[in-house]
This record gives sequence, C-alpha cells and structure tokens, in this order.
Amino acid sequence: MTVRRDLAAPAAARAQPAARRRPLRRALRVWLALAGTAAAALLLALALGSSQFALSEIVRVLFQPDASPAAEVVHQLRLPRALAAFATGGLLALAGALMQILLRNPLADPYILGLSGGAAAGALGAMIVGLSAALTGAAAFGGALLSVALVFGIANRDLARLEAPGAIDTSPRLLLTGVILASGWSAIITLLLTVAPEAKLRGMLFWMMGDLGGVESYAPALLALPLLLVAIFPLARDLNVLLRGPVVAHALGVRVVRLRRILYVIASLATALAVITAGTVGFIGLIVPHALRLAIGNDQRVLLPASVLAGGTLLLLADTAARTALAPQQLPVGVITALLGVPTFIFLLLRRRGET
Amino acid sequence: MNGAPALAAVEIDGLEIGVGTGAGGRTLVRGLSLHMRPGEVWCVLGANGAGKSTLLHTLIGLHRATAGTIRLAGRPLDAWPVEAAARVRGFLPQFIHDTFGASVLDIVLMGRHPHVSRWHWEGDADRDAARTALAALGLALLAERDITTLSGGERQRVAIAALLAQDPGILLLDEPINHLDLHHQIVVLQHLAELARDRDKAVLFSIHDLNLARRFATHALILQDGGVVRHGPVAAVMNAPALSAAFGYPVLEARVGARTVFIAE
Repeated sequence: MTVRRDLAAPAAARAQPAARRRPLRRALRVWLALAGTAAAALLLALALGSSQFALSEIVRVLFQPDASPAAEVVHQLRLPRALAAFATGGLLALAGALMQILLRNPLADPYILGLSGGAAAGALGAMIVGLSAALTGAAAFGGALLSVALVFGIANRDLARLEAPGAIDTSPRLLLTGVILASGWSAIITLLLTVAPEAKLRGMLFWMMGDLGGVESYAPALLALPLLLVAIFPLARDLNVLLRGPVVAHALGVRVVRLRRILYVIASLATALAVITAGTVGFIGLIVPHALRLAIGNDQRVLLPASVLAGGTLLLLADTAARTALAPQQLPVGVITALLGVPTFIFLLLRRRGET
Repeated sequence: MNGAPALAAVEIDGLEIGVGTGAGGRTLVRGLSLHMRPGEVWCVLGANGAGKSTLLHTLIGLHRATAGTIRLAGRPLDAWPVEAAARVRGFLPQFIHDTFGASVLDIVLMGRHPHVSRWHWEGDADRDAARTALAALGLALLAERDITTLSGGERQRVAIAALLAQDPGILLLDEPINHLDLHHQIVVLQHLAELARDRDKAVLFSIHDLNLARRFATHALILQDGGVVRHGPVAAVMNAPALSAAFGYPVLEARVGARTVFIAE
C-alpha cells in the first residue's frame, strides 16, 4: 500500500528559483536605508534649535569647524547632545531586543522590567558615596544585572535550566515581576535623592524620566554601542534558534546556558550605559524591535543592527522634538518616549491576548 | 540490511534513569542495554509518565542518567560537543511554543543551523534542503506563511520538516504524530521508515498508537512501571501480555489480513 505525497520531493523543490531569496543583500539594503535615515535625523537635530543657521553652513562647520557662532553651537551644544541621544537610543533598542530573546517575550524592555531602574539606583548610590565615574558605571551595571537576576528568579525561569516547560506562557508573571521591581527601584531612587547632598546629583527628572539636556559624557555609550553589537552579531543565528525554545536550540547545537549568560551581560551593560548617559528613558527597547519585526521580520542577523540604527534615530528625533516642540521650554525626552511607548505596549498586550 | 551488522548508531549500556530525589524520586528505566543500528526504526511505548520523554531527553543530553553509558556513533554522549552532536542526531520535542512570528521556510531553515558555519549565511543548498523537507510533508504551499497562523497539526509538521532539513543520522522524535490527522500520521511515519530503509538512518520515536507503531517500527521499547524495559523486534516484544502489563489495561491482539492489530478490551 502506498501513500501519495502532496508533492514529489526534490524535483519540485528545485523548480522554484523565483522564490529564492538573498537574505544578506536584503539585510544590507535595510541597514543602508536606516543609516541614511539616521544621517538625515542627525542633520535635522543639528539644524533645529533656538539659533537658526542655513543647512549648508551646518554641514560646512560640521566637517570644518571654525570660530563662527554656527560652529560653536554645532560642536559645543547640538552635536554632543545628538550623539548622546543616538548612542542611548541604540543601546536601549539593543538591550530591548536581547531581553525579548532572553525571556522569549515581545513585551520585555529594560525600562518595563526594572533594569533601567536598577541601573539608575546603582549609579545614584555610587555617586552619593562619592565613587569615581568608572565605578559609578560599574554600580549601574551591577544594578541592571541584579534586576535581570530578580526577574528571572521570581518569574521562576532559571537561566541554567533547559528542561523548562516550554508550552507555558509566563508573560503575566514576568510583567508583574518587572513592574513591581521597577516601582521598588523608583522608591529607592526617591529615597537616595531625598537623603543625598543636593549639589552633586542630577535632578529627580533625570533618574525617573530620562533627560538629554546637559549630557555630561557620551563617549562611553557611543563607543560601547558598536562594540556590543559586534560582540553579539556572530551569535545572531543562534539567537534565532533560541527563540524556538531552549530544548530545540540545544538539539540544534546551541550552547543555551552560555548564550543566555552572554545575552544577560550584554543587555545589562547596554542598559547601564544608557542610564548613566541619559537617565531612565523608557520604551525605546519595546517600540523599536517590535516595529522592525513587523517591517523586516525576526531574523536577528538583520534585526539587531537595524534595531541599533532605528533606536538611535528614534531617540534622536524624540529629543529634537523634546527641545523644539515647546521652545524655549525643554521637555525631558522620556516624556516623548513614554507617550509613544505606552500605547505600543497596550497594543502588544491586547494582541497577545487575542492570540491565546 | 546486508550481511555484516552495521556499527551501532546508539549504544546504551546499563542505563538507569530516575527523576526527582528522595521520597518523591522514581526510577523510570533500570538496567537498559541495547544497540540501535542504522536502518532500524524503534518505537518507544508506555503509559503517561512512564518516562518516554525523559528517556529521549537523556539521549540528547538534556537529562542526566543515574547510571550507565550512552554512545552515539561510537562516541560517549558526554564527549560530543553540542555543535557536533547536532550534526549526527536530531530531536523533535513534544511541545514547541512560538511566541514570535516567523515564516515556515525560515523555521525549517533553522534545521540547517548546525551545518552552516558561524561566519556564513544559509546558502542555496540549505534552502533546497528546507524546501525538500517541506515538500516531503506536504507543506510546500505554506512555505511563506507565518508559523503563528498555522494549526497545531501544521506546526507539528513544520517542526518535523525542520528535523528532516537537519538531516542527522539519528532521528529522535517525541510523539511525532501528535495533533496530526490520519493521513499525515501515515505520511510522517512512512517517511521516517523510508529514511531508515533507504538512507540507513536510525529512527526512534515515542508513540501512543500501538497499531501504527506495530506497522512502521522494526523494533519496540516498552517502558513499564518500576523501570522494567522490554525491547526487541516488534514481532517479538509487542504482544498482548506485554502491552497489557505496560498500560495496566487489558489489550487484545488480532490479525486483520496480514497485519497484527491491538485493541483495548
């Protein structure tokens, strides 16, 4: 007795050259388009502000700085702030994309899960004790690490366990854990700010909402952004497989526990650097990977670099809006990202419920 | 099979598998020794909780055996690097939960992961392998669909197609015909049997349908309470007394034409 197959196998498979895809070429197109958008956003950020200069002049002084007022404004004020915004946005989007893979949950975000809060509390604590800038960064990193460990521990998904019940959706527990952690951290931040000697600390707003006005140092964030991306990029295909679950990933030759540890460290580092640069800016890590997944799919090899570029661009645009929309009044950029992020989050949550 | 016995694909010696510790602990498998050779199709039978999944997890290194040794292609399981093991054995888990969307072709292409170097992207040969696997399971027309829009049975076939694209010498499947309709149950099992017969693969799957097991497997492994394991050629071990004992319910054996069938009393 024979069973007819729906299609005879190899011949049919080879007879569709039209459907053959060139994923690398497509990825390059996506990255180039996003890089072009980022460059345009940068130019816009440099051109907009209280003092107006011709675009041609902005471009000229950007590459040939002189003693003109335009050069002064571009190089002293707008460029540092724009680069800080881009680096912070890129880091947050990268951290968000990686957290979503680590937790296998599209709602994961460094702000929502309390990583940003942990990093802020760590940085703030270190500043109050009077530690150096480097140690402040380390304390922020420690706070972020602690937050992920707590989220994992409380939501009961051991980083080192593979035989987790793959069919169970832990979203509600995970999100509740993150929300509780985030409010715990903001209580600690408030406490620290209350007891701190005021002069040496940045304002409440910076640690609670995120603000790019008066950025102190953007170099670490801007330097770390490509380094972290380069560190995780060779593992991007492993990440695709990990999204199918730890058991499938193990069976396909992925070192799951090691990969999770790497994700954990890189996401925490990226968050910590973003927080010490711009405070706790929320929702970039949620909005950017989600929007990109809808547009270009969920291949991490394409998505991670795209997230970095788009996250940087989005925060750069948000910050430009924050400082020009109600000028001369400046809004904290976190207000803009929250106004974009909250509806996105609710949309995602409703869509998920509809599926199950 | 021709003349000389082939090198064992899976060699199990004195295997003991337990779960839990202390008073809550149970021994699922005790003193299991067997050789599974290329060209053989093994079915794993047993009641719920008898340890079918745990045995499969042990064979891929997800669960640690209490005692005994397992060799894949002659090499102890512990000595296989995870990446290299993925080129000789593949595994279909019982549950896969998709939180993120992805095209069916991309999911099946993941089966090629162990064959593509870290510094390369999948090539045309990999895409051909994925499309061949899709076609074998009647999924060619679903290649561009999003996995999250498919039914349970279609997703199960996609997961099996990914395993076929991985193309390992040893295929381990945990209840591969779960959620499948009658036609596709037979398509899948027949394809696995052909892989063993024509391409010398070693296949082992757990299954609840005794008649399909009897029809497509060459060997059976029956897990019973208290770690007792019977194994051997299906004709020798799949009989009414053994199955009745394993399932704790009387099973009758009958002949229909040339075929042996089992029915519950």
